[in-house]
Amino acid sequence: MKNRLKTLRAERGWSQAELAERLDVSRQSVNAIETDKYDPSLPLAFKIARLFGQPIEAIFDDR
Amino acid sequence: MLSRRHVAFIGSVAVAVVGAVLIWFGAAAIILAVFGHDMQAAAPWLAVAKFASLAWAAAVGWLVTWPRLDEMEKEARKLCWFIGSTAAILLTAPIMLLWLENGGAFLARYTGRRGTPGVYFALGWVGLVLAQLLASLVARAGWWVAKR
Repeated sequence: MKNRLKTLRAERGWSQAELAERLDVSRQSVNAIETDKYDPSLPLAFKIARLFGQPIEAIFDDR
Repeated sequence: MLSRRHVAFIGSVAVAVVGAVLIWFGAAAIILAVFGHDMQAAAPWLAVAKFASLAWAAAVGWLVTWPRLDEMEKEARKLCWFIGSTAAILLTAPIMLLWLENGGAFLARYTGRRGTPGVYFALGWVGLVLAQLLASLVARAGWWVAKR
């Protein structure tokens, strides 16, 4: 599943570690999501969406 | 700078280790006082105390650490244990059947004497657990390579 996490994080000037801290996950998880190697659970996807103030479908794309 | 995640992990390890040491030394002191330093009489109770301290460390390790893992780490551990454990069971079953063929003759050739059924059972159990741990570590290495 493709996502815009890296772009959104870069826009805010956050490092992967900073984003991981805000989401309460490991930096490795953030990296795996950004590189499309891991699809987050629905609760984590909602958390990401809330953090960036955008709907889930604006961040994640399953097509 | 340590993250909250690292601090929580170090804290849980400390609780597990300190608790295990306290249980072991505390119980050992009480047992030795009760048995008046008769080591032979105290030995089975000391073994129980040692098992209890290890059980504490393992239980606290799991109970405290597991909820603090993030979802990807939980998925990794569950999947790697499932794959590793299943592979170990499938691989060790034929090996252990060969070991036990002809009353454990294969093992007796290497150890120099025949063991009792209890010894073979214990050996098989320890062998299976070790194989499961090793296979899980291999699966974990594969996960790390795939997801890093």
